[in-house]
Parts: sequence; C-alpha cells; structure tokens
Amino acid sequence: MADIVNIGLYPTAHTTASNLLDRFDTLIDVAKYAFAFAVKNKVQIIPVDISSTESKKTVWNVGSVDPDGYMVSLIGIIFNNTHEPYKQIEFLINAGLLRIHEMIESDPKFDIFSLL
Amino acid sequence: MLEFVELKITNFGPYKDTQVIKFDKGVTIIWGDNGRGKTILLNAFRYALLGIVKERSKQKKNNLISLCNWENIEQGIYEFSVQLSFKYNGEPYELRRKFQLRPGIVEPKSDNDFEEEVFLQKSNSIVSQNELRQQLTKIMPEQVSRFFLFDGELLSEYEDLLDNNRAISSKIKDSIEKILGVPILINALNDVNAEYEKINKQYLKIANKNESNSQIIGALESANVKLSHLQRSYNLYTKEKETEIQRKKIIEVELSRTERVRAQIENKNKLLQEINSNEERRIQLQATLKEYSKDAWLVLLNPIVKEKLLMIDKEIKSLEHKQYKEANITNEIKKLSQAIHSNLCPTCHRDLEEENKLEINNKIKLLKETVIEFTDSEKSRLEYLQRNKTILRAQEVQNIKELINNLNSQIDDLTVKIIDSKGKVNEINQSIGKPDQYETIANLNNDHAIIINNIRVLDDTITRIDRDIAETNSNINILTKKIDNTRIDNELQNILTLKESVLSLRDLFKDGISIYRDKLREKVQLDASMLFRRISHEKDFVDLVINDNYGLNILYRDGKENVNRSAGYEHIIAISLIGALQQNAPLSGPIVMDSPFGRLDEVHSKNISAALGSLSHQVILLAYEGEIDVQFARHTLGSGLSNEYKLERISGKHTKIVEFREKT
Amino acid sequence: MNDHHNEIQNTIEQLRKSKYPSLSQELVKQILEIEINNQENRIEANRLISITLKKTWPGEA
Repeated sequence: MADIVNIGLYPTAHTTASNLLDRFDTLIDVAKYAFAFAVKNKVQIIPVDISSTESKKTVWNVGSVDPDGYMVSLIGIIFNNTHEPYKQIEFLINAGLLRIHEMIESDPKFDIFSLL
Repeated sequence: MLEFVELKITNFGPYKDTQVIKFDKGVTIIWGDNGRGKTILLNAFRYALLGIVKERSKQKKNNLISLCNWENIEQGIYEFSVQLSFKYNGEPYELRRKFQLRPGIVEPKSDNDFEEEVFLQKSNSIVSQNELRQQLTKIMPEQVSRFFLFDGELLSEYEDLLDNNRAISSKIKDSIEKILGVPILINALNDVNAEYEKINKQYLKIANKNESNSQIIGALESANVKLSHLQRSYNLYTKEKETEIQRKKIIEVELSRTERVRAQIENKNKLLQEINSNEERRIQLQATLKEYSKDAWLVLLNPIVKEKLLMIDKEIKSLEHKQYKEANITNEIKKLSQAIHSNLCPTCHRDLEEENKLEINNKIKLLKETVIEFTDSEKSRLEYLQRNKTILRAQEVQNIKELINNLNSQIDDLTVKIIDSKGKVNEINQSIGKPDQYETIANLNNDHAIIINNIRVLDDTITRIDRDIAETNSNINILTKKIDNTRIDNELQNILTLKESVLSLRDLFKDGISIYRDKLREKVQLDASMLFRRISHEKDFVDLVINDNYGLNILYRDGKENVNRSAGYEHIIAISLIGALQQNAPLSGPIVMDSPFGRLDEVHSKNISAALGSLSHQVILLAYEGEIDVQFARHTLGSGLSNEYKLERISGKHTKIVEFREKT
Repeated sequence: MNDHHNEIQNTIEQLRKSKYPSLSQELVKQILEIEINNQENRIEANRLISITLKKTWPGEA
C-alpha cells in the first residue's frame, strides 16, 4: 500500500489543536508540536486510545506539513523505520494531540509549554 | 375681626331639614364619630363663605350635587342651603347661599343643572350682588381661607411651604403675606410708582415749554426711555439669574445624590481603559509568542536529537577508525610490494638484498593477515550516518524554552488582570443599575456646566447693565441740572420738588416692605415658637425657625434644625403657624378645625386642647370622642368652652346636631 | 384701624423719621390709610393716591 498523501486529524485531536491557536500561529505549528511531543515520548509508551470508529478529517497535504522532508528523515533516524513515514507522522500527530487533550482534561491549569 | 354667630344648614349632606349651631367667643366642640359628617360641616362653612367645597383628594370639585341631603335625593328632592350669621368688625351680617335645580330640570346630571342664590345682609340693608363678592373677598379671601378652615387630613398642603422650590409654596407665601398685610405696602409702592411716572412725564412736558430746554428735554426723554429699558432688562436678567441659581441648586442636590454613582462610573471608565491597554499588550505578546512557538517543536525534539547525534557520532568514529586503519595497512602493503617489484629499499632507495626481500615478503604476509576489510556495507553505513548527522544538525535550534515560558507567563498575568478588571466592571454595572442612568448623570454634569456658564454670562450682563444704568442716571442728572440751571420758573420748580418727594416716597415704601416683612416673619416665628413649646412634649425641641416662605423647621437644643419630622409634628407645627398668623394678622377670624388630633399621641392632644383658646378668639373644633380626652378638654378649657354639640346618628344618611351642653 | 394696621403705620413712620425725614408725616399716613381701606379696590386706591399727591402740588413738601 502506498503512503498517504494527506494528513488527517481525529475530531478530538482537531478540537484540541484548534483550542491551542491562542499560543500557536497555525494548526500546522500545533501539529508539529504534538508530533514532537509524541516522538519525544516514544509513542509506544503513551497510553493513547485512538478509537477507530471516529473518522479523520483531512486537513493538510503532506507537502504543507513537511516541506523539507525533515519529519520523514526524523522518523527514519529515530525509529529506524522508513515504511510509510507519513502514515507514521499522521499517527504521531494524532497521538500527541490526544495525549495533550487528556492532560488538559485532567488539569484545567495545564500549560502547553510545560512540555518543553 | 370676624366672629361667627350662627350656622343654619338645610338639607346639607346628612343634615336633613334645618339644623342650627350657635357660636360664642371661645371654643365650641362638635363631637361626631367617623362618617357622621364632621368634614361636611367644615365644608358648610367653606360653602357659605366661598361658594366651594373641598374633597379630601385635595381638589376643588364642584360636585355640589353630592351635598344634597342623601335621604332627600331618594325622594327626588335636590336642594340645600347654608346660612351663616356673623359679625365683621362689630357689624352684623347674614349670608345665605341656596343651591337648587334650574327650572325645568327634574333629574340633575351635574352641577350645571343647578342654580345658586346668594344673599348678603349687612346690618339692616341688603348688599347688592355687585358688592357682594367684593365684601366677601374682603372678609374671607379664598387664598387665605386655608388658615382658618383647617382640615387635619390636608397637612401635605402645609408641607409644601417647606420646599422653597415648589411653585405652590410662593402661592401659599402670598396667602400668608396677604393675611399679614404686606400687600398694603406693596400696593402703596405700586401706586406711588405709577404716580411718579405720571409726574415725571408732566415735568418733562413743562420743562419742554421752555424752548431752550427742548433739546435737552429730547435728550432727557431718550435717556429716560433708555433707563426704563435698562431697568426692565436688569430685572429680567436678575430674575433669570435667580432661576438659574435655583436650577443649579437642584442639580447640585441631584449631583451629590449621584456622586457615588458618578465615582463608580469614573472608576469603571478607568478599568475599561486598563482592560483595553492590557488586551492590546496581550495581543502583541501573543503575536511574538506565536513567532517563537513555530520552533517549539524543534526545541521539544532537541534532547532526543542530541541523544541520537551522540549515538551517530560514536558509530561514525568507530567506522572511521576502522576505515583509517585498513587504509593505512593497505598503503603499507602497497609500499612494500612496490619495493619488491622495484628491487629498491623504500627507505634508503638502495638495491634490495635477497634477505631483505625475504623480510619484506614476510612483512607483507603478516600485514595481509592482520588487515580487516572495511566492507562496502560499512562504507554505506558510514555515509548514511554522516548524512543523518548533517540532517539532524541542520535543524538544531537555540534553546528558546525560557523565552517562550517568559512570554507565556506574561500573557497569563495579563489574562488574569483582564479577567479581574472585567469582573470589577460587572460588579459596578450591577450596583449602578440602569445604563440609562449614565446618560442622565452625564447630562446632569453637562447641565451643571451649562448653568454655571449661564450664571457667569448673566452676571457679566447684569454688571454691564448696572454700569449702563449708573451712566444713564448720571446723564439724566447732568441733563436735569442743565434744565434746572436755565430759566427756571415756579411751575417747573414746583413739579421738580414734587417729583423728588414722590421719589422719596417710592423709596420709603420699597424699604418699608422688606423691613416689615422681616419684622413679621420674626413675630410669626416668635409666636409660633411659643405655641409650639406649649404644645410639644419634646424637651430638646426648643424653637421654630422660619424660612422665606413661612415654612417652619424645628430647632434642637444644640442649634441644629430637625429635617425629618413625623406627621404628628407636622400637625403641631401647622397649628402653631395658624395660631401665630392669627395673632399677627390684620385679618383675624374663627378657626374651624376638623380632626386636628388624628396623628397626635395623648400628651400632644391634651396640650393642644389646653392651647385651643390661645389660637384665636373663636375656635370651632370637630372631633370624635376617642380623639381627645373629653373630660380633660372640658376641665382644661373651663369657661373657655362656650358650646358643645353632638352629631347623632338617625340613619346612615341622616345626622342630627344636638346641643350637648348649655353654655355657662 | 386695627393693631396690625397700626404696626404698618409705625414701621413706616420709624423708617420715614430715620431715612426720609423730608417727607411729610401726614402725607405718608394718608397714603397708608387709603391703601388699608381699599385693599380690594385697587382702582379706587390708585385714584385716591393720585388725588392726595396732587394736593401736595404746588410746593408742599
């Protein structure tokens, strides 16, 4: 199967990202931050439950998200996995956002930049 | 002096047929329970003297139909009459008013269906209809009647006197001054002034006869006209200024009432400004933050990238080392092989001996055994790692974590401040209430400023006019002297003298009015205070203080005025004023009081009962037995109590006036 | 004339004596009497005042 060409967000992830637009310029900036968060925490150990009954909303073309291919390279370098990188990127973005969503829910005073 | 002798009422209200009450000097008490017709009796006096009645709704309602005897109405009989016998300045009078249906009317719908017959007999002669009204107005003018025909329930009329700003208070003031005789002086002033103007005109006419004077006369006439105009303007502007001053006072009272609200509005505006500027600052900071947060993901990745770079570096080092080692050995082998091939020593470049060759071959063999091949895959790996390193290093960013956190916390602080301020604004909005109040208050401030400006402008105008008046007067004096200095004949001299003396007369009365007014007010205050102290039970209330409108305020022992007083004390003050007016008026007459004790406690009621005789030479009291202590009243008044009557119930629509006690 | 009218007369007389001594006492008294007796008839009062003042012409100060 060929890699995806568009990156989509689950509704909850999309909402979470939208709610952070007071601190970030664009949704892409939020997505990248969430991606970085997921990578940093090596998503396997992030207890994320992505419901497969929710349907993703297509938001971006992959070229908009990763114009210089850095994210793809990063996936390859960090995870030693070059198979369907955009699919992985999409997964990591959503996983990151959903985990952030859980953190916001459990602590109303949660500061997004405390993750730095 | 007015003195009632007898009241004869026929079919008036509940009083069926003809019923009579006789009066002497002193106090007459008419006892009647509620609803028996006491107020209607008061109206009988009013109707006799003034031709009107008053309802408790404070309005003069010409609904005289309702005074036809109620039982008679059921039988279709509509008429009543009131006959009052009295003495005025010693002369006997008989006044009769009859109210009956117009010819042809059977069932009346309004007062218009009735006609009234009035008849006044003075001593033994009948007063003509023309003179009748004049006489009655002289004896009991309507404006003044409220101080003689006193209804205890209509005290709010008296409260109007206290409020200097109310239009009605000046009407009442005029009434009081009428009782007190001030109009006599005002009339004198006006009449003398009218004469002065006539004389002045005559003077100018006479002076004009003298030809050489005519030019000067012309100038004098213009000057007089100018003076007239100026004085009119002066009066106008002065009055306007007084009005503005009154308006200013009213607004200032309103402003002080609304001071709290205004302060809050000011505070709110300040807060709104703060909110605005904080929101602007916050937007700026957010924009800056958003610029920096674009790289936040890289900052987040930094540690992991660093870690990976370390690993990559380690591996690269190891591979490079191997590669370097292999290269070295391979070079050495190459060099030695070259030596064998060229038969030259690689070091000294001499021909090689056999044993040297053997040595070299052995060395080559050894080296070949030790060399570890740097494989192609290792080469690829090295290249791969080097590429990755380049990729990772390209995205290294400065640690802007602290910067971001700083911006973030500034934004949070501002957000808290904004929320706080908005909360305070909401609180203020709730406590202030209606938003249209702001407009009202803003308007008040506006109006105040406008009025102050108006007053200033009026002041300037008045000063200017005053100056002009002085200048014109001075011109007039100069011109008059000029006339006077030319051929003066007797006629002119005489009229000049007359003019001067009339002028003095005018000034005399002008001064006289204010002196007399002050005197009167002082006397009324004194007499009212004396009565008040007699009636009042409260030791700390020592005096009454009079205002410009003859309103009275209670003075405490410590010199302060009592501004909040009870309805009961309103009563006492009203009665004190009435007594004082009677004592000071050129017009004195009987006082008829309906339920004057309504709001008073026992002590005050007793005190008033005891003071009744000093209110007027004749007092007629309409009261119910629970209102004052009957025995106390009789005992205290003693011989001062001249008559007692009782209103006996015959039916709900029929009351009989019964003499209770013969006079002693 | 009653007490109150006397009061008016007295007040004016005192004022006349102190501030306007050149005015005739009799004249002032007459004027006040006219006003007192014609309080309700202004036209008559005015007429009588006029006559009274004319009587002081010529020359009576």
